[in-house]
Amino acid sequence: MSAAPMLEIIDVTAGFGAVTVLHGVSMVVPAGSIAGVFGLNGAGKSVTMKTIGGVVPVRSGRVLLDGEDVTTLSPEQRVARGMGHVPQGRQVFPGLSVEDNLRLGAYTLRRRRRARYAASLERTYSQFPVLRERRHQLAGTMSGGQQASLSVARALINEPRLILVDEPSAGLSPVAQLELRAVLEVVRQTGVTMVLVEQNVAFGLSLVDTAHLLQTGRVVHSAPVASLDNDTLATHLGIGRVLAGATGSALLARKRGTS
Amino acid sequence: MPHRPRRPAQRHRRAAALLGLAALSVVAACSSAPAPDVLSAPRSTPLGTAVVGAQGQPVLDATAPAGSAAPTGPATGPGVPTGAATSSVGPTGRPSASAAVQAGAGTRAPAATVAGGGTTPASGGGTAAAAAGPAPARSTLFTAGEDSIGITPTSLRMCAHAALTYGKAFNTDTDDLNVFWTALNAESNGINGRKVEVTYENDNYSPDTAVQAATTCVSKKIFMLLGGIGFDQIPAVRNYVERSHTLYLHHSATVEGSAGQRYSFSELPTVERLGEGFAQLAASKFRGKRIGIIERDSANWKPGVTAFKAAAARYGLTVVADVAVPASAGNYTGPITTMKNANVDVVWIWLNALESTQVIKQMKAQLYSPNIMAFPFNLTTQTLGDDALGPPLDGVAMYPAYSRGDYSGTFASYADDMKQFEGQYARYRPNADLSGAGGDLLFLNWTAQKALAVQLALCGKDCTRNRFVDVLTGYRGTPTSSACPIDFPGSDGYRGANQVTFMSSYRAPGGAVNWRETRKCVAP
Amino acid sequence: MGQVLLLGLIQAGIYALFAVGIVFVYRATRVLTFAGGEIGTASLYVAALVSTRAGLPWGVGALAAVTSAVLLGAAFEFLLVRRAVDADPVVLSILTVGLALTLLSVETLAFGSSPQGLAPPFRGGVELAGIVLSPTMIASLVVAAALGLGLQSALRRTDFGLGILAAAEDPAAVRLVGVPLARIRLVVWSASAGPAAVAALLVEPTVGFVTPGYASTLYLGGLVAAVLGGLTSLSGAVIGAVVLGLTESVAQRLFGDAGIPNLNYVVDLMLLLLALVGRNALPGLVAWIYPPPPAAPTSTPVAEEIPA
Repeated sequence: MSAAPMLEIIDVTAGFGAVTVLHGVSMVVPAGSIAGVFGLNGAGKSVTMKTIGGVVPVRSGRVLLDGEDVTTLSPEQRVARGMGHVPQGRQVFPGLSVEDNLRLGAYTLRRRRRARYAASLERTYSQFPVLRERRHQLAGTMSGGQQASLSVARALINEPRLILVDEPSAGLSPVAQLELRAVLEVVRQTGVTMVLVEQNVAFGLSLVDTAHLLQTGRVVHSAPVASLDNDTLATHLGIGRVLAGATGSALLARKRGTS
Repeated sequence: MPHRPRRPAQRHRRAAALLGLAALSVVAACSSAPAPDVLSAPRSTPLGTAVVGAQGQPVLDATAPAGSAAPTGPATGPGVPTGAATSSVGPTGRPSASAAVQAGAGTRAPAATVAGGGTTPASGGGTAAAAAGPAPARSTLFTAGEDSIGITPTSLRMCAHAALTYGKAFNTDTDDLNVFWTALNAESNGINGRKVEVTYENDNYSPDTAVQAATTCVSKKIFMLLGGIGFDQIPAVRNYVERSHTLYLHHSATVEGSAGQRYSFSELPTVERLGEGFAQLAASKFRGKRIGIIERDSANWKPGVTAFKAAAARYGLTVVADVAVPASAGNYTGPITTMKNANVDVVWIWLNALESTQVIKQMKAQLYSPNIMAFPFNLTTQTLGDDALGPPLDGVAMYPAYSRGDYSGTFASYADDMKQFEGQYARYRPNADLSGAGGDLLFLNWTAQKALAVQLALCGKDCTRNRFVDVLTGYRGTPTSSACPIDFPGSDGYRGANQVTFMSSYRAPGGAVNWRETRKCVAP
Repeated sequence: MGQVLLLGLIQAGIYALFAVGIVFVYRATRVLTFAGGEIGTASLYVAALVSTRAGLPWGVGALAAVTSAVLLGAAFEFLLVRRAVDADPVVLSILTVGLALTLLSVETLAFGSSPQGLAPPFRGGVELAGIVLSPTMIASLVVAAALGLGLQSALRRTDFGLGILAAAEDPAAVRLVGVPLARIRLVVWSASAGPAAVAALLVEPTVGFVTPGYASTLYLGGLVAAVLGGLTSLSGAVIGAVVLGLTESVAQRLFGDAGIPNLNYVVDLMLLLLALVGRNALPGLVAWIYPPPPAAPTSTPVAEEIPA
């Protein structure tokens, strides 16, 4: 792993119109790690992702990708520099086949290093055999779980250095969530840095290395998951004891290395 | 294309007007005749009737000296009144004989009317003999509150709905359309001291927009609404003016739907009459030939075809094919093939100018050259060029032909109008292209305005809407040398003209292919 | 009868040329454009300036026409579409109407509605069944089909084309895979104007000359043809045009003398109703030749977070 963090957000403020949503958010994500961003509705998780992605402009502060300042770059330009997205709701292109979706995902790769595409596609299909089976099927006709796989594959095929995964478990059945977990494990094993935003704290905590807790547009606590306990979580997230049990077992499982 | 059927207007040079005024008042004072000599023509006229006004006084002479009685320079010089004025108010105050001879083709005597200073004494003369002070109007169409809208002692306001979008092309904008009024205001102090102001609202050649345009016009508090060319627009506006009590003088339109309407008048042949006119043309030139019709698929055009067929039956003509096409269909290969299949010898194209041009051009591309009857516009012949001469096209019109600078042949009988028209444009709109595709449109617009000016002048100093209706419905005469006779008393009282003019394409001296008249003012 | 067929195909060629452009725009933007006819007409004026007035060969004029159309499309995107980026496709449709009207005014002001001549590239023609077929008449249907095929390939086989298709479904997601959305939009609107110019160049010789708005009625037929063909398939556009042209021709031959008012519109309406009611019938025919993308359930994004 390189010494510079793969992603660094420095004191970012952002919002919509007259409303400021992020009030100076800072975060460091080491290369190869998985960072989780958690918070209640309205805490600013989605806006954080959008400022990293470039969809929402930053009002002050900086965004650094592998040491490079990308604050003023458009989303397309950030993708060209190695950022990948698994958007909220998966957002596969329903009218295109699986293979066409993948091909579009590799748009930048095909433009810059075309020769690598064939290999990348083959690798993607080995990582996601279900997609190989359905390579000519229209993406819109696949199940939620399959679309989730496709969405992740679509991001991976471009050989990104950083992937932003936005609420991947939303709208998925428990069975599909298990599938998703497996998929994200695959991603982790490739060594790609990930930033994961999750509403479902239990699900998210089981996957990430570091948790960044957001409350009303500010990062109130950042710590490795291993060092977190129920009370810290409860305090900083304001979620109360009701969820403590589930969160606790997740943490426990993690500490035991059985997640 | 704006076109208002009007009476010929006269222009008088100030001095001549004053002289005329003086002469007339002297004569009027000295005699008890209803009008001075200049206004009461010899009774034996080619038209057979003298013109009488609403009050019974002779107001217009259908055979007064020709406009072009003064064929020399002065007729076209700046600020020169029409020849008629010059001759009619000559030192002797008598019509000059040469004017009558000037009748050119001899089919009819060119008419002259008196306006401005002339008519004031006329009505003055008439009333001097009849009574003192203006008599009340006979028409009661307008209430007291409505009677004087748009007219003051110093101004007269009118508004026209017209297809300006098409007029735009022919290098015409509204200033080009108002040259006549501009000249009248500048050189003759308007009509009876009233400056005439005419504005235009674009009706976009569609009925809905026409009603909108008419509404906008009326909101300007006008004396009269004028309706430009548009078979589809005018019926819609007729309904509107009936509701809004607006005085409306419009271009040709079908009679259908107008029963009971009292506010709309027209001095041009109806659509039905035009259809019949085309049948007359066919009977005069194409007897024994197989006739085909390409018509516009519209309820407002259909009556023309119905009238044509009825007349054709009377004349023993054979119609072997009849195809209706949607507006601006673009591709006419189908209808043309139908004509070819039926071995049609003469095709009557009952479409507007642009469409007709397209049809003829496509006929040539299909190597098909039948005789053709269509609305005669220079736009068509100039666009087609030689294609409009092999064989020459034939047409039926309710307006005069115009070919810039050509005063020979059938143009001679109204060359005075042409020269006066050209002179005014030279003074006020020198950049207007009179020899181009829009020249004849400008001329027909101009002669219509001249005709209207005559009637407005006849309305007198105490003109109101009701009085004007009286003038209109009592009018019988030929307002300008280029127009055909108008006869309201002899008609249904609302449509005062039923004569059409036959035309044929020809190569003008300058090389352009234009139209010229072959038979003027053909009666039913 | 041979004539009926031929007349129908001539008209179909005209409709097809316009329909292809309409379907391309619709596939790429979900917007039904009403401007194609007038963009074509405006570009013809440019061609007339270059060829007729400046005396250059027809080919140069044609090139100028297509170029000016593409620039016009680009300007339209840059000045207007860009500002209405989040608007409903219907709003953009109305903008295209505005574009058409603006072009109409500009043409009339600049050239007047006097017909402008544009000498066709090749004279003469072939006589078949009593009808003289000019080269452009024959070319129309062929070129339309070729254009449709070419655009279809470009859309499905190139990365950029895929990007266009994806952007039509989900512009936001397209950015997230690195496809330059702004460039896609610009290319789409510029490229869509090209077929409009080609259409006009091939149709005008049949009509005879250029006047503002000369193509409006014919363009309407193109719209009907596009709808008949299912609106999402470029080959459907051509097939729809052929169906429309032939039906109109047959109707004219059978009922033309019966004095049925507005016969053409009646035919169009009936065909449209048929297509709506028998929705699967015509597209099914199209599916024979080329499978159109069936209506697929889109992945629904989770509702946006409300900012604090």
